Amino acid sequence: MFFMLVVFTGIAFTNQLLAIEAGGEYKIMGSASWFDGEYRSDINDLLDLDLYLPEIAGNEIYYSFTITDPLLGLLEDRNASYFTRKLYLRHRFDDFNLTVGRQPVSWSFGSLHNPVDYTPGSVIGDREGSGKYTDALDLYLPLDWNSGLSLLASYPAGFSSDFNKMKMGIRGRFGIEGYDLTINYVQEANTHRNPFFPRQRIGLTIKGDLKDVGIYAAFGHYFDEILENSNSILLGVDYSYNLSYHTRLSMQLEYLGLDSPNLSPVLGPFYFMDGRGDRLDLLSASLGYPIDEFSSLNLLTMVNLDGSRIYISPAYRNTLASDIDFTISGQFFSGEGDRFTALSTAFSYTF
Amino acid sequence: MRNKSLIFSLLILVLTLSTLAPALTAEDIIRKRDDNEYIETARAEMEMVIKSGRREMVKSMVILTDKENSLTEFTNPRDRGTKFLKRGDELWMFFPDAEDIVKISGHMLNQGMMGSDFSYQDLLESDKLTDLYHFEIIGEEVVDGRPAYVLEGIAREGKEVAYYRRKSWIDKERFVGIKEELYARSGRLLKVMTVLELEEKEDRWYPVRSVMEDKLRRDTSTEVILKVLEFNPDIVEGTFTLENLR
Repeated sequence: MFFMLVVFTGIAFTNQLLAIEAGGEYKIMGSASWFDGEYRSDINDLLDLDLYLPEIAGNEIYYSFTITDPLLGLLEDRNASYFTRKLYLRHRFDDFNLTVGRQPVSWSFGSLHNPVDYTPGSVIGDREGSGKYTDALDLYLPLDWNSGLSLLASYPAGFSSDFNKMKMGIRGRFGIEGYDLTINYVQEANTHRNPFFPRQRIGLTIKGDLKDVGIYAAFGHYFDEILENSNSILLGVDYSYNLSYHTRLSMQLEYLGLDSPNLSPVLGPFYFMDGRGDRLDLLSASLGYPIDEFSSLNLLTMVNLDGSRIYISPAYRNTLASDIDFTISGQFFSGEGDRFTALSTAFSYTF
Repeated sequence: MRNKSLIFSLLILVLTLSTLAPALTAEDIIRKRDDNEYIETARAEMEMVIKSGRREMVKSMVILTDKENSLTEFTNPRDRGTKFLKRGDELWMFFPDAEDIVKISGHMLNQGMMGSDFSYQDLLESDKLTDLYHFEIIGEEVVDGRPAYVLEGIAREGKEVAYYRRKSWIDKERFVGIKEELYARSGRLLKVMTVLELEEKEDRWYPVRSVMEDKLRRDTSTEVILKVLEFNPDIVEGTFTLENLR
């Protein structure tokens, strides 16, 4: 990664016509949490920086990174940390595109959970983890305006010539009669993987409209030489209800069924919703209410259908000025004797 | 004396013939407006200023469009890199952080686009107005010193439109819309669009600054400022594809 950074920087500074623009977001967050009677509070800050580089010899170059605690690291006795989100080069050939380097790989299709994502659990609703950023080679072959084939080779532990350290994936996306249909296959690397999560999987997703209701579904089959075969199923609907002409309540409701505890990594940061049973039946709902052009209320709820676990997360967001946002959110979890409550506030500035 | 009477007779004849010339019908007026404002292909750089009370938010974008399709890329800091691809009646969105491409559900199309008073459906309606509405002339008025035809358009049977009825003020000389009221089927006034500035571009008058007021919300409006408009640019093959959305 450092080598690529040096190469890109070298190209950038040797090209006299190059103009680099920068943009991003600075966020400062405060949180308070109570878990089993224990209280904790914390303040963090975060800087996401994106560098916009012009095309060089037909190559698109992207560089984005995150610095955790850039300000508090200076003011307090704590270390700032650096994480590369994107550092890749894309070349558009006549018949295909090739993307090489650190890049986000996300196979979202509009659902809250995605049990057949390239990196399970990396994107849940609008919560995105760092797991989707990976060092990869992506070859995209367009077949039609809304259809294409993506071939992926990624290296969860960094680029390596060792085949055992390589993760592979192939995804076909097809637009048929207004429906978005995808089929994918993933084989995890032999090393650097969760030994309890099956190594291979085949996934199918579909999204479209049934009159005024958005519908979607996914099916995953997971298999391994050692672990038992297992399946996941996802069924979801989304709908907008007019409270008045201009006030529309956006709703999303989905069911996720996992027939083995080995599949709990697809829950990502919501792993605590998985009970101790053999299978998981999870109902998730999301509500969005726009108060006006500048503020909104959102509610995310998850319920384990055996009644053992419930999670509720309301959030209020207000754009104070054109580029400054204020967010306050809560998280309440209750399940099998465990209780967790958290409140957090954040100010962010986009530039 | 004879000459004077000849000139007078000719003048009477000209005036008589001019009154006998067929008056423009509503369809003629809207067609002329369509011809003037309708874009075959274009590249535009725009700014949307969303206002609510004393707060405002500016969104800037670059749009490439042809008859059926459009590709919009936001360039303001908050939304930079967010793209919409409208292809026929489908809408796809690209989220730059995750680099996800997601098909937007049909029911989302009536919601305000990126918090503005323009809905996704407003964006999708690329058909000529004459194809979507049946128009009638209901009067003539002067708007900001410009004489204008006042037309009422009712949605044609079977056409999916964002507004059932629209009342349009069309400049009598330039054949450009200078004001528009948009109504629901119930008769309720939903939005009022007023053109604040016109510019002559390649022998046609085009609105370059207009404001859309949402009449169901107090003190909210979206001002649209057209910074650059280029007619008939070279649009390379593959522009309106998911591949290009990435």
